[in-house]
Amino acid sequence: MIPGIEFFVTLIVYILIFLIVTISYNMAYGYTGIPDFGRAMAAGAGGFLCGYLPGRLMAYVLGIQGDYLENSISIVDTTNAFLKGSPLMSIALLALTLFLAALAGGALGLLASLPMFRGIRLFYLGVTLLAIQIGFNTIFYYWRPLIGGPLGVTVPDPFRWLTNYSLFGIPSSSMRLVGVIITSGVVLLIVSYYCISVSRSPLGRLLKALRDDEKGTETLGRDVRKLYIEVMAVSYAFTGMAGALFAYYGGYVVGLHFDKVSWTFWPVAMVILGGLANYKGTIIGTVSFLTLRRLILFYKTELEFILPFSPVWLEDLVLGVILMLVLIYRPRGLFPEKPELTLSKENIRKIKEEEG
Amino acid sequence: MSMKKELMTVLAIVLFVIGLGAGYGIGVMTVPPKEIEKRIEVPVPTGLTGTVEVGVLVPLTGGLSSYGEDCKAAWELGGEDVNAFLKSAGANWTLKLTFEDTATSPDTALTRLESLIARGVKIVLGPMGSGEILAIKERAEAEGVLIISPSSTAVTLAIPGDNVFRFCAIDDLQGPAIASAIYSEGVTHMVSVYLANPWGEGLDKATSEKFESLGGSVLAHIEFPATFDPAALAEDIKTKVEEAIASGVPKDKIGIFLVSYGEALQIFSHASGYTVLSQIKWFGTDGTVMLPEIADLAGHPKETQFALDTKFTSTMYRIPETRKFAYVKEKILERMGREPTIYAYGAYDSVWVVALALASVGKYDSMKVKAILPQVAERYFGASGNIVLNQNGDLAVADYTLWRPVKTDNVVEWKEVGTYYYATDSVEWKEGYKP
Repeated sequence: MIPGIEFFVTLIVYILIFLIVTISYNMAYGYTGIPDFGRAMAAGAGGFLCGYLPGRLMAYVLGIQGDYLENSISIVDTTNAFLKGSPLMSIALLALTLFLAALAGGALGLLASLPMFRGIRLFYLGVTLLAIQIGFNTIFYYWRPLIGGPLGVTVPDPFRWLTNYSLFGIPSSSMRLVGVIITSGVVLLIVSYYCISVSRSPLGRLLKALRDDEKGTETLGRDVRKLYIEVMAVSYAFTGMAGALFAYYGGYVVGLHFDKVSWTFWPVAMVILGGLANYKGTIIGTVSFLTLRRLILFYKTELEFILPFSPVWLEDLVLGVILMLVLIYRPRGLFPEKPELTLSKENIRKIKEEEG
Repeated sequence: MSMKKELMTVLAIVLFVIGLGAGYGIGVMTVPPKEIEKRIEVPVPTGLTGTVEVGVLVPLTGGLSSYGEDCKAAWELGGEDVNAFLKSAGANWTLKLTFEDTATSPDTALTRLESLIARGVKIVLGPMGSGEILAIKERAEAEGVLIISPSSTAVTLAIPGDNVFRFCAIDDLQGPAIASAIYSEGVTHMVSVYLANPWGEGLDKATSEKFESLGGSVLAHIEFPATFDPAALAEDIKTKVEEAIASGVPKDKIGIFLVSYGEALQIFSHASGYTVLSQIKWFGTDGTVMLPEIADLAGHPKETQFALDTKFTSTMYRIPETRKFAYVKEKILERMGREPTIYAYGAYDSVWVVALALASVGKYDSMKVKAILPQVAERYFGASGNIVLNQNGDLAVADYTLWRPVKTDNVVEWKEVGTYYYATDSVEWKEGYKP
């Protein structure tokens, strides 16, 4: 059986969204050495904002009365009907939400960095952030006024207007996914450009120095806490946008979303698989991890007759084994970190020739 | 490699990924439709042939896993029975159920649905939780995927014309049943204690509304999370009860309505420490009915005695005990070593109803199946009886049996003590259990 187009479209959506997460995570963990096990919280900041704000905002704009959370499904239905006929409003809503998601993520990054002001060591920061992230999700899951508590809330669809069209024969019902892909692609390009530029700049080398020797960097007059906080804020802001895009893609958010496994542990695994402080590795790690995962999900039932256990468990088993093998045999990932070259190889060769 | 080159490489990879999808899309669109149908193995319109794949989203891990195991066994049994029937009828097709674990997580449920959609699956049995259904609903509606859940009960999902069917009694049916039972026991003041999830919230709301419409008064709504401190919760309940007594409400007019699953055991353990809580009546739901631990004097004497003292009465969706019901119960007992929960019967029936609807339509067309499914269900009499669906695609009517742990000859057993009839909106207590 060959996968249908839905397989590839969905895969591309996930790859683009998770590349935003892993590339921004690589800046914090790979380059700066912050063991951030609360990354899901950054995605949640953007995602939960999509559950809280756009629906209420559109209800206000359209003059819809009544308790938003009680009637969220019908209000979002009415909103979507309006957005379907209003591309400009849809694009404005999307742009505003992405901007605010970045702000929310950035603000949360600042808050998550606060333990550093208390002089907490980086090792403990990772565990602290993991605990904070669980608390963060718990609040959104149980505090009803935010996003409807345990029942969650539906999210307006700023891509609905695209279903009026059918491009290259793609069915109109799938056009919203094309919108998600294009938007995610644009955000990813911006994030990649920024992160790669930083990694190639003196700031990138400073971050690596900080990662390798915090005390040494401090003795050279650098304010290491400020650096940590700046990296966390920027990195969280990017991941916040990924969370918002995912919420728009799914059309629904609840406090159980943006959990630690899917949004912290798996992204960490993708980065480790590719290789730390190495964007080529991060991209290949993310693409190969997600593609492999989807292929396992797709083909596992075909293996039902040869497996000694239910294929339901195959995905976690295979991914777990691969990760262990990579850690044993290639602990620095598929593409180990290399020294950053400040000049192009050609220029270095020329200088060598001149000196030689 | 220079920075520029590196950047270009990254951009090229990103653009390649986007281009891959777009290119594939264009490629697929240029392939004649018949070839697409062949590739995803959708049966040809002239009649079903070969293997017809139906997806099953079931929580095999996470909070609902014990219910998931029961329902998985029921779906498997249904699949085997349907295929045996198709074989004996000489049909050219067989039903294949593809199971996916949702891990009781909305994220995972969506991922698994996407995987099923990629396989060309357009009919899905499950998921079990209302939150999981909400997480996949948008995508399912966009892709024309039909969802048939055996256990989602949230009132929010009662939406006319959507792609979601539910073969179980939803909260706005159970709530009135419980409220009527509480009120007919002579209780006029109730404290509602409920688990903070869609099921708990829904039942709290539906029961409280009905109770107040009958003339009762809800003293307090106490919500508790899945991870909670039972001692603090018991103290909270005691405080509310003592406040009511202090304001002049007699003890026999006060009742506690508890919406929980196995958490009831911990709550009883701590509540039994307060005499006043043992002197009032307690009520439960389908989440506590038949809970073995509170009918077990040897293993859990304190909790069982508390259930006896408080005449702890729980509701369960009433299923006529037909031969099919007994058959499913026996078969699952054989496989699992325990009796299935009530949702398993609806799960078993959903396989049959889908298979019969597919056979009637004669092709793998989820929207055509959706159109005739209510009629097929109404004409089918299965393990859960006659399935009459309302305009929202949910079970339209349901009677409820009232169960209570009862001590006879030093043995405690769950016994049927009454019935709530939907048609007359009334409770009929059995002889010996009338208030």
